[in-house]
Amino acid sequence: MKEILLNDGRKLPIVGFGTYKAKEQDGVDAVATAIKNGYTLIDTASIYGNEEAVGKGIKKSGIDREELFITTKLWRECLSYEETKIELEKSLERLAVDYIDLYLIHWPANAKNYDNWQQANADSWRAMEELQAEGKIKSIGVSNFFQEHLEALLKTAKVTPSVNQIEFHPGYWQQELTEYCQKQNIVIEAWSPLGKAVVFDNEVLTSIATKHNKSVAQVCLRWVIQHNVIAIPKSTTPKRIIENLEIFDFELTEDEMSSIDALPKMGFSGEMPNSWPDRVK
Amino acid sequence: MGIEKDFIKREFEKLSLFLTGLIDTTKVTEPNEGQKTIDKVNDALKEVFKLSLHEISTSNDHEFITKLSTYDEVHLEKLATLLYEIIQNPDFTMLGQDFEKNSLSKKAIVLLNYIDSISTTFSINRMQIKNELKAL
Ligand SMILES: NC(=O)c1ccc[n+]([C@@H]2O[C@H](COP(=O)([O-])OP(=O)(O)OC[C@H]3O[C@@H](n4cnc5c(N)ncnc54)[C@H](OP(=O)(O)O)[C@@H]3O)[C@@H](O)[C@H]2O)c1
Repeated sequence: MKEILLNDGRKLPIVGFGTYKAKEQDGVDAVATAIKNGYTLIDTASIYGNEEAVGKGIKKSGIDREELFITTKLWRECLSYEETKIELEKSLERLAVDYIDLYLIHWPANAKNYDNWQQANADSWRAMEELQAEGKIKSIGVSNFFQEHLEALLKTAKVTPSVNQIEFHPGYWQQELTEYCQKQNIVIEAWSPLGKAVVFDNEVLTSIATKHNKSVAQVCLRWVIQHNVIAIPKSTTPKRIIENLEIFDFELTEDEMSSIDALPKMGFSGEMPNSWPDRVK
Repeated sequence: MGIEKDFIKREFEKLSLFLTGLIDTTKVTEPNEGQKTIDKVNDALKEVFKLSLHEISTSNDHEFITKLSTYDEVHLEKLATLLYEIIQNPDFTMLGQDFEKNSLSKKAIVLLNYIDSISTTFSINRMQIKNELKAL
């Protein structure tokens, strides 16, 4: 599979497996099915409450740990130096692994929830840099950071985030932020790359899918990766898990890419870094 | 078998380090030392790739790629970065006699396109270098 080079010299596959809401036995089975069918990048988070299931799924797949890239995330209510270190240990234990490939700050601290949000992000980041130096984390990154959060972080960071995982799908793809990150050599990972399946009826997407004899889900994923962005679709349905990897045998034309780029806003989650825990419309 | 593998690995790393060193030299040019650096790069390129900067800028695209096709992608990527550093550094392009900036820049783009075609790894850095060269 095509890979993307991170600014720390490590590489990630361009398609990974999302696990939000894939819990308990469903989660175990989905992760094992995904890995057996060729996914090596697995995305979870402490807040998903499924790190144990993900760990069991990995064991069940029988694939060597070294072949996999496990991502997990530090929850937004735990942004301090001390908590970062404690939370990482808890994730390692729940996943039953001795290192994490990619550890992300799930959401930035913001003015609404932290007296000094810049300091909270910087303190967590410092802890992550130390954990990386100790070898407990291979790559460190952020999620849902706007340019302002990154700029603030970069003032004190010794290590530039390797990844910013953001909401990115047809109908909402944060073009300016993507361009800013790519200029800083920060790789974008797309969460909800299928727009949580609510964009599937769109006529532009269905007509492009028909033309290529592919599903709308596959067109969404192809569009994401043609932007040189990593996609991490989630599914607990074996047929779809496989389908979501079958996107390397066709290519969207420039016109098709542009028409998907230009789709009106749809499928937006309403989650924003500066407003959490509230949602916006 | 193991010894042969080790030898290949060592040679591979030796060339990587050599090219990295060369790239670094182009970044810290002392005033009026531009020509010395270009001479050093030329000697190194002739030794390793059997091509001078002048030959790179004047060769045709097909010949250029054919000559380089036996090299590993990692080394080609470093060569592209080296060419980029030379092209965008006014200390070198002012010299003018060893290469023509526009044709060297076109060749660097040809090389980057070739790397894109053989590589399974996407690199933002590669994309940026290509965009900057195209904009020159
Ligand atoms: N960093 C963050 O803040 C953040 C936020 C949200 C998500 N994420 C990560 O991103 C991953 C993906 O995002 P997501 O789970 O929100 O949404 P998504 O991947 O865009 O969509 C998942 C939905 O699409 C369905 N689906 C999957 N493949 C399909 C196919 N081929 N055909 C039809 N339907 C299909 C799934 O159903 P079934 O499961 O029933 O098949 C599920 O309902 C998450 O799992 C999580 O790992 C991160």
